[in-house]
Amino acid sequence: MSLWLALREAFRGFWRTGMVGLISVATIGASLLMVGVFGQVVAGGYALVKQLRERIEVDVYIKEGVPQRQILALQHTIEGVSGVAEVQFIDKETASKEFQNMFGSGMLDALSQNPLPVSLRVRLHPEPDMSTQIQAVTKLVSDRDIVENVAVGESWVDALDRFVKIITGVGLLLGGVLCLACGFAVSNTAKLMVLVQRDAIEIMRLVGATLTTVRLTFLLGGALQGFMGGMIASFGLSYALDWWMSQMPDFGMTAPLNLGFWMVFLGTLLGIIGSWASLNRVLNALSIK
Amino acid sequence: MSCVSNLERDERVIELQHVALEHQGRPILTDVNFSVDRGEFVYLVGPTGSGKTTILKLILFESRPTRGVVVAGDCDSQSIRKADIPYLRRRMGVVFQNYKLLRDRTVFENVALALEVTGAKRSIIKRNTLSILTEVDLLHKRDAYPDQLSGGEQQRVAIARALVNNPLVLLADEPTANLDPETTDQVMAIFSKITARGTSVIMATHDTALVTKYPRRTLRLVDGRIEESHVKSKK
Repeated sequence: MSLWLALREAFRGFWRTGMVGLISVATIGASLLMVGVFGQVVAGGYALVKQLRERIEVDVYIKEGVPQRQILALQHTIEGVSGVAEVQFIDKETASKEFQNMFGSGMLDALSQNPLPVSLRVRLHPEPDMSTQIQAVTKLVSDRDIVENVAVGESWVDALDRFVKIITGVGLLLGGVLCLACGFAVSNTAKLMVLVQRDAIEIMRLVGATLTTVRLTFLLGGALQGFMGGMIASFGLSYALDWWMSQMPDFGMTAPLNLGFWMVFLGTLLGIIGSWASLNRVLNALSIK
Repeated sequence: MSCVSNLERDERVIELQHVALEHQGRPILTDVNFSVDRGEFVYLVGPTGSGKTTILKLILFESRPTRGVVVAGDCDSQSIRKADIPYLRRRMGVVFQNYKLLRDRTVFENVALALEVTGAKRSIIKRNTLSILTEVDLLHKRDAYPDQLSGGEQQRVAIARALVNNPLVLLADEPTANLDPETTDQVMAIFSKITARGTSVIMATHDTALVTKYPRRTLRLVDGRIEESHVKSKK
């Protein structure tokens, strides 16, 4: 089997498909670019949710006058709950400083004494099912006599999480449709390649080319189209990211897992699959066995 | 082990035993029997549609007989593996009436293709291609495209492509049908030269004048059977 021969014939076949081959490459490029942009948005969304989850806290406010011994006992109990990363004791002074940092000193200065309660600040590991852990902590502490109140701020993160999941679903659906479009485009071009190379195939078969060499020629032809489409998508995505960074420097998006490489890989794979899907049918129809 | 590996060993290159072929229920060949020895030149004659091309396709294992068996060395149509057929074809050359050259490739590229499919080294491809082009007197046209050549030159390119692998047998399907008498003489001279070197030639033709001019063993196809003429075989 001659790989060089198959590669050369693949280039020749692609060249002879002319405008149809170029349209196929453009279709693959545009489809993969859209898949890439969606992938980028979804990956960015997940990264954002992860960051926000890391900031989720459960504040357990303690009643006035509770001995520190009891508070520390509660702190140890909470630390034993699954999913809890850290439990921080916030005394009245620390709470006051944080309040002043956030809202200025004017409000507290007007009061004769610090009204802010002692609290335990619970941080959780950023896992997908955080609401269960939050509920576990809340349930554990809310019945205690020493606890005044429990404050949880997860609801808006859950909403964001749901939004990202919907975007992921839409992205997967759209990605699947676009991948099918890529495969269809390559499949049609592969058929055309077989037709324009029909004489060459017939002669190659007569002079002793194996069917593997003939098949390889067209699989490489499909791979070539997919590769070029993937390169277009990769460059397009890189350009789009640069543009995004210049417009929105505070909302940086870096390409996850070397997305450019995966665009080219996916394009090449779709090219091979598309060719494979049509090849046997066309070769049989032309009685090339 | 592949049946192709012992092909060069036998004196008998091709044999058809009680071969019959039907196409869509219509009999094309009914009972064909003949054999061809190494270096033998054989005409296969008969009117258009008599089954000459069908016999050549059977020898190329492009189709299989409905009954009977086609034998090439240790390979036969009943037991040959599909994967062995390309390797068998590399030991056979084929020439057609319409040349079947690739219009977008030069003379050199058309001939070299037959070696390229075998996976031969580039240096060998170049050497053997130039050598066979010299033999058919077309070295000076190696960079020309088929459309820039006369019919006779195109047929010589096709012959060069068929011979560049040094085949055991050359199958020629009406190779002189589109050629003038002078070019026909050139083609027949090439065939005589290669039979002298040990390559068998099976030439399908309906040109009785040609058979008379260059008398060789003649197999006549009549009603799907072979009637062998009494012209003495010349090797």
